[in-house]
Amino acid sequence: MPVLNSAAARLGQALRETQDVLQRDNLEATASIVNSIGGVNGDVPSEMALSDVDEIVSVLQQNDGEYIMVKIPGEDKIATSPVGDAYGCMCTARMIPVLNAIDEFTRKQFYPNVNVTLASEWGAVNNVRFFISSQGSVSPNASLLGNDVANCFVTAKEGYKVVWQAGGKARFIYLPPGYNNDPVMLRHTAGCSFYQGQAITNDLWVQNLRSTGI
Amino acid sequence: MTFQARYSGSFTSDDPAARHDVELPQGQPDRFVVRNRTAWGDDAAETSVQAEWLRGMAFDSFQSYDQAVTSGALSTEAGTTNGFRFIDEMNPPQFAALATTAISAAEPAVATMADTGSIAVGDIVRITGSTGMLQIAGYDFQVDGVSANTNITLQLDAQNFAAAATAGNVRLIIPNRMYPRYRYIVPLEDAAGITQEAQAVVTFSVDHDFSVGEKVSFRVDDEFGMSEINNMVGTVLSIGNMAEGAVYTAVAAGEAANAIRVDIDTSAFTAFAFPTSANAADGFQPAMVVPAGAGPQNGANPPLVPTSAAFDNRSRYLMRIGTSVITSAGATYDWWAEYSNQHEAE
Repeated sequence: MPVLNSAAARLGQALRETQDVLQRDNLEATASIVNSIGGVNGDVPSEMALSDVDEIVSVLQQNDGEYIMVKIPGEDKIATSPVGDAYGCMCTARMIPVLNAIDEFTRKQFYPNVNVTLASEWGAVNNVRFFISSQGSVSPNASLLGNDVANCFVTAKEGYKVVWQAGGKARFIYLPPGYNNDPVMLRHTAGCSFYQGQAITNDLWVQNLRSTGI
Repeated sequence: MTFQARYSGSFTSDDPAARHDVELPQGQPDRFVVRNRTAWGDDAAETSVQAEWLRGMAFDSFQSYDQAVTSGALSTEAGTTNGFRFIDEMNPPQFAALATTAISAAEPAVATMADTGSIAVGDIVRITGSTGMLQIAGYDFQVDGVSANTNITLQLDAQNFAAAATAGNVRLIIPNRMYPRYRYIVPLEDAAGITQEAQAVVTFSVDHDFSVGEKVSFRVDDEFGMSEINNMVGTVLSIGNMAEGAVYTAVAAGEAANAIRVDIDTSAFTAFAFPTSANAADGFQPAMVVPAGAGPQNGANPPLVPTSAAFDNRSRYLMRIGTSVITSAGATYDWWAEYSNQHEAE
């Protein structure tokens, strides 16, 4: 049943994006705000700069936040650069130009070993690795000058978690023709459901590094 | 044609008449109708005795029946403002910025606006580009008063700011309702923002949804003076409102509250104070309170953890009914929302 398989694939994507959106909005509502101030665009927050990334690392280190990812040691490959132990930063894909402009930013293709990376990873600088998504959090018109602000959630290990309820695993629900007020049995429906709860395990280990320039 | 769903209800309009939000159990309807049950057929002149919105019409528009005096004859009207607007609080609409020519350095702060748009008391607005008062740029404020197309009153005590704002933008926003949510700390009703006392009282620019027993954590940088409280975790002892003269009054759970009292002794801390506009222009970290857990509750016997502070998605689907539709004060209005099996716009 290729049509049903196709529907399942699309619903699966919608389900996972919905899960991400719920967690994203939870982080946006609860994470501590740190404005980027190292940029030069004259706005508050400014565009993210190397000094802002280092400041966030310093904050998380002072709060005893553990790194999520272990370092990728250097290898004898031209143009590659080792990557240090890192916190994870989740941000909108609109941050791509800003990330690329950060001093010493290493794009993923220049990692010594890309086999240990996710497709959504964009790159790294110092001790933060950046993951982008089209569903990333943006606060519209929230800067001093009225520009959009990207909420970039930098988190240490176990900074937040998702709670799954027993019996509430994701389900694909298919109803054949004859359901839902369908007396002549013409329509079938497909949907998905899941239970999910969000939790911040330590508010000191999740920081919202905000940036303009998007 | 059979309908996929049809929901209905009724409400009594405010006095004076004001807009009203109807919470819907599912998304945007295909047809939404409101009828003034009190005025229908009473032979008095009445505008918008029944109004409706259909899928495909612009938001804020409406089509209505006006009722003539004595005869009760109905005539049709169509409008484009203050009608119906569907709001999904998880994906809220964005509103245009409205100019303000001044924000007073006073208690309370008042923003002068030639066009207040659809801003109403209780709404949340975002201030940007507040020239001369940049320390509040980017902040969200609850609107405590509206004088249509003249000014709005912000939930802010700006009397100790060095100068008024001479320009800026005010934008209506609808934040998502992920609960609980951080809040910005601001001076309010002659109180500094964080009082200096054995159990500090903290005031916010927008009414909060913290609950008693909840843990909250402070983010207060050096620019705001009371940096001793930075990263400290306190327990909410009570929720309440700060009134003129820095008088704090506790309220019951579920009531509107712009302040909390916490179990942190700030008597010996540096006074809380907003940075200057010039300092703000250089970049600063806003003073705020973030949720930090739920327990165990101090002194509870047997020990307990209040579950009222658990994270929750309280976002809703709303149909906002504007004042071009709700024209009678204290009247009973009936509404119904219809959702079609199939809608074809050819």
